[in-house]
Amino acid sequence: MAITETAATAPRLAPAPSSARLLWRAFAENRGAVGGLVIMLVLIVVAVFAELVAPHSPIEQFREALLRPPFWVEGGSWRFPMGTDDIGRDVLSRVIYGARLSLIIGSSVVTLSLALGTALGLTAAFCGGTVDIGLMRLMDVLLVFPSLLLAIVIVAILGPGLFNAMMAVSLVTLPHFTRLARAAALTELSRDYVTASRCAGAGVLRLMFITVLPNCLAPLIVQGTLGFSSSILDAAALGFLGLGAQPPTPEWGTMLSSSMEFVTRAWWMVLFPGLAILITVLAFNLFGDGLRDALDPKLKR
Amino acid sequence: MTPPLPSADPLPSADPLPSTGAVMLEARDLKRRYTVGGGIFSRGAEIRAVDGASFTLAVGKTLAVVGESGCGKSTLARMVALLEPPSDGELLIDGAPVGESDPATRRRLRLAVQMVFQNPYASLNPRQTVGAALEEPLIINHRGDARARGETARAMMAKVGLRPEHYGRYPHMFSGGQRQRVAIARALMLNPRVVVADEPVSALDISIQAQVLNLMMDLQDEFKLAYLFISHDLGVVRHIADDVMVMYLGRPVEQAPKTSLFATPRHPYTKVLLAATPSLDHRLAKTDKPGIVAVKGELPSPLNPPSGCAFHKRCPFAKDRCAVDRPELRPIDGHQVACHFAEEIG
Amino acid sequence: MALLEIRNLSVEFATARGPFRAVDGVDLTLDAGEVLGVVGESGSGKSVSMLAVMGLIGYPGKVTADRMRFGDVDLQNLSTGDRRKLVGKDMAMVFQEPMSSLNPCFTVGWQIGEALKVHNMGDRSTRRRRVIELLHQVGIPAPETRLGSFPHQLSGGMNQRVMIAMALACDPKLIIADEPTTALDVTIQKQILDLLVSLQRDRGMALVLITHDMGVIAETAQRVQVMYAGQMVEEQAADQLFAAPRHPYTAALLDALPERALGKRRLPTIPGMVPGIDDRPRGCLFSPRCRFVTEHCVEVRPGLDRTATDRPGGAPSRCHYPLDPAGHPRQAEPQRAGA
Repeated sequence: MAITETAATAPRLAPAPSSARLLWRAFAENRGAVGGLVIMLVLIVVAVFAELVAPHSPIEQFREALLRPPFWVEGGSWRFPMGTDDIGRDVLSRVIYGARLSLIIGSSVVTLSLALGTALGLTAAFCGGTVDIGLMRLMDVLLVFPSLLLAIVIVAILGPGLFNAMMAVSLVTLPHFTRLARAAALTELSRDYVTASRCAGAGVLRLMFITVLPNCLAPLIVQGTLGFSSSILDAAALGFLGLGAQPPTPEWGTMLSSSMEFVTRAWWMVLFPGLAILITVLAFNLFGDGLRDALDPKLKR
Repeated sequence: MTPPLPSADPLPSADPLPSTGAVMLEARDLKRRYTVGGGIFSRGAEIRAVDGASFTLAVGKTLAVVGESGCGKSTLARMVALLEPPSDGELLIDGAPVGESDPATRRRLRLAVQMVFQNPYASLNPRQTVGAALEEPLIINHRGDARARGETARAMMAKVGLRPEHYGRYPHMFSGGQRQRVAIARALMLNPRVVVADEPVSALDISIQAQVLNLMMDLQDEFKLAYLFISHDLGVVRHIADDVMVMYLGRPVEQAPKTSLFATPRHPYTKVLLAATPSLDHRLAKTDKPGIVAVKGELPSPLNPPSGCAFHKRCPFAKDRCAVDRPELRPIDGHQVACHFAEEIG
Repeated sequence: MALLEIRNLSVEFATARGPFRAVDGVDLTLDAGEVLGVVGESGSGKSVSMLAVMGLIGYPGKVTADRMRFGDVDLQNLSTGDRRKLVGKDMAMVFQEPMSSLNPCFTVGWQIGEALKVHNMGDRSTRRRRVIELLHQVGIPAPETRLGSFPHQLSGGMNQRVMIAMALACDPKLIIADEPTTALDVTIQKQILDLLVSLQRDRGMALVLITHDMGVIAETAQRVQVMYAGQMVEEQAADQLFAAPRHPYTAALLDALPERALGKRRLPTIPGMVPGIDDRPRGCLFSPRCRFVTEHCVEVRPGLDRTATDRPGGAPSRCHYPLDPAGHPRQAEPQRAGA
């Protein structure tokens, strides 16, 4: 009797691999996503250790080496692997420092937008009624404008500069996070576990941030990674228009803008910052897509 | 007799170990109305989800509420659990009227009534470990320090048949039956007097259902709980209930002690419900059901309730008066029955 | 010749944790006009086995069988075109959740008509007449007015009737009903079951009724198969099954029913859980939970014992020591495992 009872009554627990490991496995099936992740990590390392990686200072001007081509073209040298610009600054160093700047832009914008958007979305979902309607119509107003146009208008009001450009881009991406957070929160609000917490006496703030928020994170994280790349693009566009980072800041978009006149004479001044933008945005997008795919089947299950 | 768990905070007027049978909760003519579909320019339609329910819950006893979709049992459960205020009527917990109480008393009363939900897969927070889920009610109500909370949580886990190593696991690692045990444990963390169980075993397999029902009955005996047990499964109700209330379209149509209700149902709807429930006895006894054919027609919509008696359109015994006069509950042979002709139908 | 003959059906899914046998060696024989009940709890494989018969198991499920015959058609080696001609016409299925099994974007009339159209049952006016006739047969009042209704405008019971009408559209020889009434209210459930049984009787169709509700089986089935963890553990005529189950799982399941425990405070339970993918016992799959388990049960997996016993017609059961009519295993002294 004893053996049967103990063997039978031990509630059997699924010894499943942790959800983190399962998530990684699902994510790793997508080669592109893993590639994106690798590039992202390289970028982060390069940006953090820019002082060690870059051969020169980004603003140091080498008067004797103006408009030098990259090392594989005749006239170029290994001293300036990607060539120099019109006032003798090393393009490679500027691109490397630009990576740091772009990552700062991306993370600041996404953090600000995500935090504010989530708070607004949760508030809308929890309060319902007029508050919900009011907030959502406000977001609709923001969405009506083409994002770049709106950013330009805001920067024109605030004045040009990298910080103001970041504010503008944050505002422009805000509605996406708000709507996403609101939709996710509304779904979770109807679940029994929220009611159970209410039964235990939880107040609204606790319900919002401790009970519901962790369950809304998945779509928000995915949107965050995609927002990263679009904010880099937007900041670069503003920089290109002269409304973002001002020279001599080595921001990729600003670099593009100041190189336009040299596109035939010194194509490397345009190519490398442009390529950097392309690769970064592609990497973040691939990573975000892979993350969404990896999280989705788990959610469906 | 097991004493209450360490963090017990009994109601001020309540005896920590009340005697079985004493009235713990009383509902007087509870009503709940909703307005749906209204916009800025149109007034919506009114739904009477619960239209006059009166009953008592006694310590250590179970009142089962039975009915089909639209009968209002879930709304009733939410009102009793103080999740929604009644539009009309009164709710008294341990003698204290809920509606008229000050916020502090209301808070204490709210903690005296806890709820167990139907869907074990949705009633636990997927991002919370079992231990965190059990401790949450204690944290919210500032009961004890971290160590005391942990001890209480583990003690409760043992009571419901979970192992200590389950403390740090997430809900998705458990089966339906185990999750329901966690849900029951969570409901008991605050030492409630009343537990509202909304179809707690409906989503479980038969063998697991039996385990959870046994657990609920053991806990009821030990902690002197009053259960409001919502179910559509008459087999389960017959096992666990002491008293039964049958609801149809928001109103109770019959209220009676369990044995009496199942032996001699008085209301036509109760008879129909009993006859319609598939059961082994129907086959083994090889008898035809006593003169009841399957009831025709659909369940009425609460948006468009029939006139007079809500059941008259489907009732095999309906007469002219039934379409005009709405019957009130009246005592017949120890039951409360809302039917004009209950004596004649017999 | 039996209408449906399945031998040794297995369905295996490739999962991240290894191959999983959802269905393991199931046999089924069904005559025309017969009502078979398949009963089991979650994880028993009852739905998956019937989906495999209909050919509805897609990748990554792998279906294998010694024989899968429907009439004179070999189901295993059917081309996709031939299968489409068969499924929905001679073999039809009714699913559990009527609200989600009907397409919400199309009217009810259109959906039933589609079933007719795919199997070339006449021109548009003929089809329209037939749809109205079908709706009438399944008990929907004023069918002409319902043709243009969408599923969300109808109640659950009505939607299920529509599903049955779709299944009946091409006069099938076999209907497989997978938990057709689980999502419905009790009084509506009774109506739908009565409808299914009367239609089956009037048209001489075979009916396979899959459910977890023993009461439903008791009221409708002639023969019952009990499934556990992907295997068929018992098959008997319904009357005998409820009076004298042969497999300990069936007996334990019946004992756990609240209606069987009248007067007792505690319900007899089956300790433990259904084995998942990680903990399948080497021997009998039910051995960790069986009251009568022996060492032999733990070591050796029982096959399906098809030999005729003292009961006429034989009663296959997958157990080393099947129960006798008194409810005791067929050996005088089952050895205790190590105790």
